[in-house]
Amino acid sequence: MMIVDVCQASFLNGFLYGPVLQITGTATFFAVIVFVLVYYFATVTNNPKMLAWVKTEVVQVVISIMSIALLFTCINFFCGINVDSVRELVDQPPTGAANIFEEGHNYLINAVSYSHNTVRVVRYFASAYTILSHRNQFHCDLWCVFGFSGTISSSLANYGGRMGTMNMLFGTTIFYLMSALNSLFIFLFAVRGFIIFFLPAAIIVRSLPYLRPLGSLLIAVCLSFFIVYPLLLSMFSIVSSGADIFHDPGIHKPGDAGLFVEYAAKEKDKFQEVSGMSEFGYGSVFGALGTSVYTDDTRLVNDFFDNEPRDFFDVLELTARSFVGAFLLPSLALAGAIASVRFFARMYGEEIDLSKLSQMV
Amino acid sequence: MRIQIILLAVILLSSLSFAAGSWMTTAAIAIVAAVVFIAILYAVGMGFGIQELQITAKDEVYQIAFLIVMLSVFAGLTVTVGDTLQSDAKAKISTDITMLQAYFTKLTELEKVSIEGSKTLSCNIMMITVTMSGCGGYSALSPAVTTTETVVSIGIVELNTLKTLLSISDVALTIIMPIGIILRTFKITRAAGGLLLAIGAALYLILPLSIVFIDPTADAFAEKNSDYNYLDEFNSKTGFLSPSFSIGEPQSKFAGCSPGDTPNSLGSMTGLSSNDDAALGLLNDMAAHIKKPLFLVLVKGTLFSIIYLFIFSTSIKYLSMAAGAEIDASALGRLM
Repeated sequence: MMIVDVCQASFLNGFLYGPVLQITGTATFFAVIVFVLVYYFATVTNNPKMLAWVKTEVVQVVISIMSIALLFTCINFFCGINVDSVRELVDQPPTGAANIFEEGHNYLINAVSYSHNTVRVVRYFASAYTILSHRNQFHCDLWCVFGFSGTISSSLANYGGRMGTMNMLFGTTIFYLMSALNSLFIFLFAVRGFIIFFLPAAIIVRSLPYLRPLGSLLIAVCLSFFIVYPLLLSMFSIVSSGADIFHDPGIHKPGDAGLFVEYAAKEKDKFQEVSGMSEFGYGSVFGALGTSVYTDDTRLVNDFFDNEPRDFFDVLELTARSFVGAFLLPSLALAGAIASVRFFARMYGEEIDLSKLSQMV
Repeated sequence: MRIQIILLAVILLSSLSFAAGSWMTTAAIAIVAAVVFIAILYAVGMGFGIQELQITAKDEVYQIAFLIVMLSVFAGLTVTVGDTLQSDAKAKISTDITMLQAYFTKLTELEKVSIEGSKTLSCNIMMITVTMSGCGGYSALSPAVTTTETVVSIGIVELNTLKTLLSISDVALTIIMPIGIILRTFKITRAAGGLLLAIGAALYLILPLSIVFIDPTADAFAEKNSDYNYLDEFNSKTGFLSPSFSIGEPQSKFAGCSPGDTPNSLGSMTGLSSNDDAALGLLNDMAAHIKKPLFLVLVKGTLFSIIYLFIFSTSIKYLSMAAGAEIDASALGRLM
């Protein structure tokens, strides 16, 4: 199913040129009716202030309708741009995205899946280090023959530092995932057309006393999130593929499986195997008789990790890439869209202060 | 006179821009297209007598002229110092990452304190259980090693973030700048174009510039103060530590812990057990291991990374203002 359906004929004809235009036309019609009535009343009562107001508001309604026409033109224009042609212009391989909106959507999907895989890998490492650092052993000495005597120790407690690091990184990587999801949902809300319902309200509100800045803001929000936001995301998609941001740092040479395949994909099986071991292993005579993963610390560590500490350093690099690809670039795109709201509002003659809102977002 | 100076500067700088590469071709195409569009707009305004169109066309001409000046300055800087800055900055960051990874690997030698500190002797005879934990000296050192490893790991993550940003700067000239120029040329997309130009300039010039100039200051400071012994100075002022305690050479042998050996007044002259003597010796080891490299980690891996990222986010804010888009990057900087 096509998620980004803004360029589909069914969306354009069934939604954009259908209900939205009808509601917009209805709003314009009622606004014009009000202006006509006020005009006649002003003419009868010879009130110059009301006459001036009507003339001003007619111009504003025309500007609002022209803005809506501009928005629809831009949507059609973006739907017509072949992003693969832009990629060829900057020496990047094509991805098959049909238009600007699909390219932006693909970028956010890549960001969400990359950050989600990062969370899974970090969780695997945190869980593994926790199991290792809490592993206890009882070394029996001579007096065991007569009672219970020996030394209890955590033979793999040296992994405690890495456990603390992974626990901390788990919180930050979840934050990156949430940020990427937030950007994706804002994008879907915009391109699925819900934001266009602001337009009819903007036409009416712009004509009301003292509410023109609100109407300008609504139109500016529509223009920003339908034009600027997808545009910036599609540009960052080209940038991310050019810089290879969403690269698995565990792949050092061709043929390497990488962190996502080695750890994220195998986490369920790995920990089920370990939990089963804890039920049967430690009290088992079989475990005590020979070296096995029950008693051999080195074998247990090798069972969890393929190449430690190199994989640990790769996870640190993975976290850094997730920060840039899943948090920084989508946040910059959102900041650019919010800044363009102010820019578009200025075109309508309004000065809007969005500094607190942008900080909150 | 002012206009003549500006024109002269543009002509002089534009001679450098021809060496800047294919992105200038894209810029020229975009600017020519915009000029043609503005000319049509002005002609329509003049033909129909619409003053607003004529004013808008004149305003757009000023925007085009300003864009040409900006691009000329950027092209000049790119040709003269761009590639050198890029390669130097990447080399410094890669060196710092390698150093921190090597330091982390070296720290693993001290991880044994956690193992030794976990030892407990347990004895159960005739339903009477005695448990002795004589390794408290080691377990007290364990949080220091754990915290140091966490700090080093955070430093590695932050340096890898800078490395990723520098990898984007490779495509700043070939992707971000051309698209930003095209978008900035037209009124509707000026905000987006301004943001992309600001990001491209910040990534390609500002970020590597800050790394190249700030990073060596840490090395110079460390070299000049390599003999500084903060523990001796602390002890001389407070008298807190015993006179025999000082940072010596690292011990070559890691002494293990006997959990049954607890403090005994009939024991050593200091009243401490052999475990505590060994732990004190290990403390000397740790102090020698951690002192200088920890300065490197905290300054280069943590403090400088934050400074570079704040310079990056602040430069985006002010460059985008110059390019016609006001971005509130302060919140982004705080999150970084």
